[in-house]
Amino acid sequence: METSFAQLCFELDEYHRSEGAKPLHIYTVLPKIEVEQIGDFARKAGVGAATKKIGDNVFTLEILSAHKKTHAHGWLVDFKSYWIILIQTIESSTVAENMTKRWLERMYPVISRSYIKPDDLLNIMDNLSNIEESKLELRAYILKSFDKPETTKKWPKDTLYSRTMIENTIKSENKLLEGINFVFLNDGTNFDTRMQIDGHFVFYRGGYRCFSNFQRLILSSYNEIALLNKRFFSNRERRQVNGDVEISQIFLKPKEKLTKEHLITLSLHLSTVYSIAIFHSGNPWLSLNAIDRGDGSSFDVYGYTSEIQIVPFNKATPESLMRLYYNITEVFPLATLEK
Amino acid sequence: MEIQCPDRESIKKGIKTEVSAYIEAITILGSLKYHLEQSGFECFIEKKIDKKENGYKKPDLLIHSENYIIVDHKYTESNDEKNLSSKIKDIDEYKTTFKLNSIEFTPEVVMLIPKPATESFKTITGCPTTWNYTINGEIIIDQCIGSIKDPKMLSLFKPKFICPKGRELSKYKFILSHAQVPYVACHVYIILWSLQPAPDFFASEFIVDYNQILEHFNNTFPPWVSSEVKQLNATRLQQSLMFLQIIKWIKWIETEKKVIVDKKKGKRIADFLEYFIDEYADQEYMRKMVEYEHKLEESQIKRHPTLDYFWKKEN
Repeated sequence: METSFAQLCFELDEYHRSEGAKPLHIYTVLPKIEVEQIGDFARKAGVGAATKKIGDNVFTLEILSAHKKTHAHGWLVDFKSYWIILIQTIESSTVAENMTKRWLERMYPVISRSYIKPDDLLNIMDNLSNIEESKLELRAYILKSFDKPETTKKWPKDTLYSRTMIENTIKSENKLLEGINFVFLNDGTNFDTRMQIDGHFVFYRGGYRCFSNFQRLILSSYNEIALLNKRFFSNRERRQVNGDVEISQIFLKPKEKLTKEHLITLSLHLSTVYSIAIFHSGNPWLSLNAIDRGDGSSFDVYGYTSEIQIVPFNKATPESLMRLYYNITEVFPLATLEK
Repeated sequence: MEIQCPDRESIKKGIKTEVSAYIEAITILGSLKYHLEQSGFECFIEKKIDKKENGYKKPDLLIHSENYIIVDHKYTESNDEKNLSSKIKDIDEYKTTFKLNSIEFTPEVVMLIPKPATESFKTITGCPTTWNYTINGEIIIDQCIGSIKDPKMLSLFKPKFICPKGRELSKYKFILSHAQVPYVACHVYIILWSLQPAPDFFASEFIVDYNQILEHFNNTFPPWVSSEVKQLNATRLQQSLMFLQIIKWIKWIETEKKVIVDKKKGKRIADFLEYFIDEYADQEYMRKMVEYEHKLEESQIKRHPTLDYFWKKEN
């Protein structure tokens, strides 16, 4: 019998109602290949993967680490423009999380992480808190910075969601809001989850129809925004029009006046992710080129006192551009994207 | 004349300075041209203009205002008097009468220098009219020595001339002047990556068709100095491919018109322009050392000819 996504959600509803339920790691990703090609590409990328179709768009998925010693399994749901990968915890949740994260890194650029902005994340939280007779209890928040590993900070017990409170905290910390742990309580249901801006979710446990509601209220909203984001970063490549070249820059406005030191920090951080050539780093004016060695996209990045400008080259995929944007916001967390 | 032993560090510094000068020249000339044309001036970059007497010059920027104004960019990080004086001497060569489309004119001549060099130039006698500049989100130009007379041009200084940095700047990578090999190699390397075929995402190398490189680059960066001048020409491309091959980042199979890019190379390098400069300095140092040893040998032979020398000469 074929398994539909709705049936899979139902099975997960049941499992996560039980006392011994282990966390489920969920990743929404942007594919450039068909599900059937995962195995081949994983081999080329030096990792392993196997899929088996169990429903119209539902597959079982097994992934293998680079040294083939650890593996993880779960499901893959194919929505064509994006996939949802659900990874079960076998022994430890951290092992499942780290292994999948590394596997996804190896699979880039054929599978890319999706991203939303911290503001978008708070918009999803706002929508949840506006649901009648619901309660949103904050558990923790995750901060990221270019120079430090992720840090998780706990909210005091019974802290209710307030956007202003989170925004003020982030401003004072001057770090990137990477994710929020929270419990959603409603008359008919409840669930305990973690939502991150890089498309990683952890689903812990909940009540009646917990996973289905999480999917309906959170996962689908996230994917809608992530696809809009992808559209924003799409078709930015230089193209020739009547002998001239059209360029489509992206502008980021930092909250503070950038100094030479800020711009040097940015170039140092980008050099850990990209191949970069620094053409000018001074007075303060930064001019560099970054090559994404994953898919060959490249960008000119200019930094001025009041603006960061990204100018995509003739090859600039939206996935790569999103990653670059995300990397810049790790250095300037409060910078806003000019539409 | 005393034969000087080459010094690797000063060779590297020289290359670095030339690369910086080239980058700043493109930024300033590109922005000035765009902004001045918007304001109704006619501008030419590196245009060949005949001297009335003999020869020709290619000034960095020729502005047609009420008169003609020549702006020549002189980048320096040194305060060595000899170096600064030679730059002033270069500028003096523009103080003559030129002919353009059978019109004779004697231009006003301006030397354009980075702001930090101002104090050094001020100590040198015979400095021409000089503007200094600072580059940030905009280019701020100040008349630091003397002043131009052209009223239309002068009206742009209030008291400084603030020229918005052209948003088109990332279309400009080359001017006619000689570009240092490491700088060209950077741009060639970037283009090679963008030509990586999709099936090779996880391969250890990828192959690029040589003919595609020039075409692709010049489509992405069309001519801007003048319509006939391609930004990347075959000489520049070949020199940089040769350089990249020496440092083993690529294999260039000329007979098959193929370039193979080794994807493992350069993975852990923080700034590949800096790395290319360093490697190129090594190559230049080796080349100059060979020259030096050769000259040294010749001078010793001249001073103390040996029988061996005469034997070699006869054979």
